[in-house]
Amino acid sequence: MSLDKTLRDINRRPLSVQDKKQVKGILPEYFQTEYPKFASFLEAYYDYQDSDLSPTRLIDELFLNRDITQVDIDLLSFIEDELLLGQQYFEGFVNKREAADYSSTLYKSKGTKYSIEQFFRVFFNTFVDVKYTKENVFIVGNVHDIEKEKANQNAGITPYAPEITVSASRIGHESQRYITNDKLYQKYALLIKTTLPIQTWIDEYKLFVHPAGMYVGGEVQIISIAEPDYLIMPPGIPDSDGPRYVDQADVAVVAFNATNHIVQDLGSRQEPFTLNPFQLGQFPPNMTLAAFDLNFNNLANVQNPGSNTFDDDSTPADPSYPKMSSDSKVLMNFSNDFF
Amino acid sequence: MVTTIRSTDLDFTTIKNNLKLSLKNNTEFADYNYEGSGLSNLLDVLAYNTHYNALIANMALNESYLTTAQLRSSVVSLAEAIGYMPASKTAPSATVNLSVNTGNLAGRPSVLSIPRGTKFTTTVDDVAYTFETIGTVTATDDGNGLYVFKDNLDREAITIKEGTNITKTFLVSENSPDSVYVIPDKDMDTTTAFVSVFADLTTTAYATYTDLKDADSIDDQSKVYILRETPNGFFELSFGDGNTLGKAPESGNKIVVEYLSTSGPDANGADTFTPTAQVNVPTGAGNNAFNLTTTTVTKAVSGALVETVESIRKNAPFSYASQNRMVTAVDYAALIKRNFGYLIKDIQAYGGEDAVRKEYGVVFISIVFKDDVTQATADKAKGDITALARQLQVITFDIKFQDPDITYLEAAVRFQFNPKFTSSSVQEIQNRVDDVVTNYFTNNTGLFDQSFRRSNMLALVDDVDPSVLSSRADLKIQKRYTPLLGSNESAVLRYASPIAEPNDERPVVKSSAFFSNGVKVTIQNKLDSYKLQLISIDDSTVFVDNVGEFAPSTGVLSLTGLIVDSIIGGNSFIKISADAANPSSASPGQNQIVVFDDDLSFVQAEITATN
Repeated sequence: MSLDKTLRDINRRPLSVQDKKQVKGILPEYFQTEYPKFASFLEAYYDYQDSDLSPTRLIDELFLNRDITQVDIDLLSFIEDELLLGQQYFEGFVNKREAADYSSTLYKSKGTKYSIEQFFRVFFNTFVDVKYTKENVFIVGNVHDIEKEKANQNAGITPYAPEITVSASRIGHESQRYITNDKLYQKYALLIKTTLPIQTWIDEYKLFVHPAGMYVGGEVQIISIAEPDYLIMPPGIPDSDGPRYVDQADVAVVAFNATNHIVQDLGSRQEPFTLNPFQLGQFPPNMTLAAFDLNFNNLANVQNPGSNTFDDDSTPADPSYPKMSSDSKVLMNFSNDFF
Repeated sequence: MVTTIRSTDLDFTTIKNNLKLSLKNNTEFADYNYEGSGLSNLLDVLAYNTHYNALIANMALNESYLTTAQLRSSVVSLAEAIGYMPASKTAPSATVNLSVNTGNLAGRPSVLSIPRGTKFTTTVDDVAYTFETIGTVTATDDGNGLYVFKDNLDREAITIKEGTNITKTFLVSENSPDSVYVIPDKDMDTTTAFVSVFADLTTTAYATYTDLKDADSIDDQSKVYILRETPNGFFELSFGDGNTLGKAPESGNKIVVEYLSTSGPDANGADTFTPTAQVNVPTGAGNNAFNLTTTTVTKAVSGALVETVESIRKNAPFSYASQNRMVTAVDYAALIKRNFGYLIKDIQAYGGEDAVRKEYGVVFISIVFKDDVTQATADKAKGDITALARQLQVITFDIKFQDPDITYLEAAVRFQFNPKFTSSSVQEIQNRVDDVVTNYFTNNTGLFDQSFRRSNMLALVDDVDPSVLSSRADLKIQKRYTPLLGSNESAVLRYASPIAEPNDERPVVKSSAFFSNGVKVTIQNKLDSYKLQLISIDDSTVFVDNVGEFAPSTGVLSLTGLIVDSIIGGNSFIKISADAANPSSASPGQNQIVVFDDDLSFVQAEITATN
């Protein structure tokens, strides 16, 4: 049997106003010698006072009536009335005392992601994932490598479009961008992913923490627990060796061709990155890295034929390498230069 | 242990019997004769002691919670503990235009001012009241000697408030740096308090202190005060601690509190104000007195008594939940009501995501103003509410006001009356039933979230007298359409509940009479159809075949191409009544309220000899 590790100090107040042990201490001594029966009778009376039959049991509650930790659960509902907007919600709270304890913190942080998470933890004993879905709204416009432009600006190079701070979105399922609609995908919306259906929490949520004026969407998360047995290697089969680091080769690539690797600059080190041969075959063998860099923002552009952009004014450094192709299997965008 | 706040346990006989039972369960006292006089007397004393203690414990416990406390002092104290300051009495306020015409008085000043506290007299129900200005107002010579006064916000509508200006002075003694200063006046309007602190008794320079709830931030130099109701209904003034929570007056300082002691709602409705003194216009040659011309802009409204216990009980938790910031819809409602409660009968706030036509980034506010609030006052309040929201919003969403959408209810109440069960006449009983029906609607409709329940109303009707054997009621729902006379108009009316399906016996939609293109007509639905027609009242023919339609399930009625020349009956609107799909109830939705139309409702007795 596990030990009780709770830190809660229930019955931490050594108060007892109806303690029958006090009887003999308070009565004059001669009462105990001459009238022992009467002393016992009074003790029996105090036993009655302590029982559920007696209405004076409420006296004990007087010392605890504002103590959220110890007050009787029935009386706690009256505190909930004051702190948690009425007891019609009280029965639904999973952690009733915590709900009251943290009400002030909850209210003070109202409107924040933290308050939403706290609300679900305290009221429904569950964790949620809060998403501001405006971040997933598809943005039409020019594609810019914002970081690169900032770096250019810092280096004294005139940025291409310094006024643009948000890059346009890429087409394709992997970009997770959605056309603006009248629900989740607009400026004022948030999405709450939880294991509970929205009908269970929406009323209380709106009452306590929801910023009025914002759309709220709910997604039910179905969480499976992995069965650990499946992950155990059958007996008798030895573990294979793990990957081993052998050495690092510096690849000095000055021109691009189908047999070379492209060197990806990762700050202080360089790391080889192999392109899909099929894609490599789309490029002229004498394409320089400089031209390659100007035509693609990053390697993901090269790797994902589906990551097309609505770039309307691309100006490739070398027009002989147009970005566009009518072949949907290769990299393409919608550059005006091509159409 | 089971603990509830009940008084049902406090019956003396029950206590004594339970005590007896408890003692009998004790082996030492099981065989005693508890009916014997000696022991019975002892049990009486102990049971009385238990009863007495339990009564006090019960009362003390009840007074510990906002929802169960009975004493106003307890409720106020508990509300203050969660940061809610109950409203004091509120002085009625009116707005007036003030001007002085000096003609071509030589040597007149370019600017005139009249001080805070300039008095005006008025009467309401033959009782005299005094109103006064609440700030200094100034006027500039227009070149012809006419001075039109404006307030500090450059408005010509000058606010005056009812009450007697009281000045209370306190001297801070050596031993009382953290004292409270009691203002023994239950009629104080705390919103009019002006607190100034002088360095000593003789100096004329002073520092002005502001109410804590108006403070943006507090440090050791903040000049803030707290004014709260005391358990005996007076008010007490206190200051910061002098260290971190605001500056505290020091020993030897003089504290002066000026405020209005008001009559509250008694002076509401005052609309004629007479200045008590002339305005002095100084020139180089001496002083000249001129009459202050006073024109009423809005009559006196919003005077109110001290906030009721039930109101405190309801508002305090929401105020606590709002933490003085507007985030959730109920925050908006709570804080607006807290600041403008003297004007508001009911309020509903909802985010644009919950509006019928979604509008994100917007919070809608719908207010039922008190009956005596004029349109001008309501418009001004809306501007002030928007300004308040700008201060308290966490996100700068737009505020949009949506007037309550009113659906009127017409009730046709009939009851079976047997005269042999009463000495009252049928007319007397009918009048009493009529009063009950009117009271039902007064008490249960007219605010947001208030619904009409036919069964509840009929239960009250049945209880009027034993001679009322049974009752029934038919319900019509009604919208009012105010047309622009002579224009070809379209409109959409949204009823608070669904409309009955059309039938082939009689129209379910029918309007009051009006003239259209010179013909006296009424709007009716075509039998067994959703189509609306104009029917000539004189010959019952169809005058215009199609002026719109209605959708029973949604309760939406659309008018199209309707031309109204004039409206019969003196109203500026047409009443369009419809049979309710469910006559047993009318539950308004968002932004809707239902209101009783007494004119089109009636009570009718049906005399019967049956039991």
